[in-house]
Amino acid sequence: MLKSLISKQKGCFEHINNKTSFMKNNIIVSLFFGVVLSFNYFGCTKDKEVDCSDGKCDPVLKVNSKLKFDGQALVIGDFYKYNDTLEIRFLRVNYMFSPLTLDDTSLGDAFHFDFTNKNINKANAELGSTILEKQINKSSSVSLSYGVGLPQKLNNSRPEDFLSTHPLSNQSLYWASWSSYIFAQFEGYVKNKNTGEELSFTYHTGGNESYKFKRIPFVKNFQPSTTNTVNINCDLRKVFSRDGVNFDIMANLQNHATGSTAVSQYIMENLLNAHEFILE
Amino acid sequence: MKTIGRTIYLGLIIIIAFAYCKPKEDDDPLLDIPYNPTSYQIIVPPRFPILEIPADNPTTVEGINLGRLLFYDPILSIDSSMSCSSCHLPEFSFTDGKAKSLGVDGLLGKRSSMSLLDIAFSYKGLFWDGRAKNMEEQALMPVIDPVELHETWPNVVEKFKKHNDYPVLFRKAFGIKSKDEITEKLATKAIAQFERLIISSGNSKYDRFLRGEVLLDDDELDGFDMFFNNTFNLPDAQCGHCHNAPLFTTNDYFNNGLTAAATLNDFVDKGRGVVTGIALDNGKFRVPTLRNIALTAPYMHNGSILTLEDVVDHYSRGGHPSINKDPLITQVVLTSRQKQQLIKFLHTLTDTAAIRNPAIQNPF
Repeated sequence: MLKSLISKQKGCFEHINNKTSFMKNNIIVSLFFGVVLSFNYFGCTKDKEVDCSDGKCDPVLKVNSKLKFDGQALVIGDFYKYNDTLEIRFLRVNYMFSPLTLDDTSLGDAFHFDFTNKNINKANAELGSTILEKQINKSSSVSLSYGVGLPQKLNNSRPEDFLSTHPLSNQSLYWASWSSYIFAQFEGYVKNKNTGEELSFTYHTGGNESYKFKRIPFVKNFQPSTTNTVNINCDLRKVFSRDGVNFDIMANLQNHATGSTAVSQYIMENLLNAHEFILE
Repeated sequence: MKTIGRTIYLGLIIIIAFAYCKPKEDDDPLLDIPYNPTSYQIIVPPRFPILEIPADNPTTVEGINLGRLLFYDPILSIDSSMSCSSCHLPEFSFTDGKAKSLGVDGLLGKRSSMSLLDIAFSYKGLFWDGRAKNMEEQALMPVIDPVELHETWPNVVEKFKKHNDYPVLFRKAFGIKSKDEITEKLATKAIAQFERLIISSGNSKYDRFLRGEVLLDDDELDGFDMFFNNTFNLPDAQCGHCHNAPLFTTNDYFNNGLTAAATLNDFVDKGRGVVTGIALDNGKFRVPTLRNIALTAPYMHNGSILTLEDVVDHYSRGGHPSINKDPLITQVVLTSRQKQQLIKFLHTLTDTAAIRNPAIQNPF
């Protein structure tokens, strides 16, 4: 009796085991087909086309500005050799940059490059500041144009014409006596290495006649969906020297008197030519 | 056991009764008060910057009314002895006439009270060091400052809720549906709305001169020319760089050579540097407006200069040395007559109409 019961139970278990193994097989076969089908599906469907409508794949242009002195990243407040007897340190460096145009594509009407609170250490100075990052609807360029200062049309405006987020809203950059924005401010100290004497210098430029503009070759292809970085480097050594001759800083410690345009012209012409545009 | 059961039973009854009896929001009597704020247009003098009002705090008659009461009400201080107006009095062009302000506990503040005139245009930060980004944020700080009102905002908000009038005024200004919606944020929004009214009238002698309505006398005119470096015939007093028109401040941060410092860490008050963490900003402070300067003595962030004569002397000497003293602070050779002419010009910036504006006077 007991034996027959055990045998019945055994048979029952075998039946269950058989059923389980049948189910297992079914699952394995289903999985196999599933995998094959999905390979088939993904393998045979065409690559999804990238949606490039509405300029989504337009290349990105990133523009950085960097300030240097004799090729080194300039740190505000640090001393640099000016000539055999003078060392120079800058405490305020800023200027208007207007416009920035690639061929005929405007990248911006007016920028205010202000390094005073940015170049506070070597790491920041070497990194530079991003002034622009935007998509451009172009595949190539042949020229770049830029100006230092403000063209007459913009210079005829006043800070109260702009919201506080606009660079031209800044009251400290407008000089009513000139009826002009201050195009550039270079301020700091020069120290006589022999005597230790320090004297401050301040150069402010402005007035429509001080605006300088230039177009340079800039041949570049822009691939879709790429980021292209342009570094605008300005070397202050070149602002304060021309043809290898340093500006006589001790003889002209300040220039912002009304009507004294010679120094303003000299600085702005040099500033225009002190820029280089490096593609990364 | 029976006692515990009874207690639980009673407790439940109380809870249910409380929940049932608590007035629903819809029943709050505040909702009977209409919320129809009236937009208010602040008049800005000609050639002033664009007045930018935060999108989340439009100026309304009701908001200004509430802000005005809060500005003058000592309810904001821990012992109800001081208000914003204790350090910002209209007769001193919203300063307090002291070198450094005293707080509720008789503690001396760190710096001099700044004029609130044209504060609405301070887009580069507020306080001497710019630690507040905007007016709404600024109004939060004096309440909790131990050397100012030394209160806490939760306490102040509780006082508002229990007050007879304020819940209604918050309702009218901001549409709150119950007292529980009164917050410090709404209070400071109202104060900011009111403070935006503390604005130049555009009728100082200088302003009227610019419009051709009056003439400056010869001394004032020479002072004007030296101030802005308008002519070769007179020395450049270098004032206009930092105190540029029309606000007579650029709201930038400068080290004006007030204190000598051998290194950047030697400034007694590091000012802007504490906010930015930039060592070169140590010892820099926000440039105050010179509008109504004749009413705001003593001068400088620490109130250390008593008269305008001494201020002009300080700048003409070129200030005290420090590594980051602004290069524009340099010795200026001025005769005593020229100094007086400068001061006479500064007096043309007095704008009594602005500070006598009835809309900004103490309502209590």
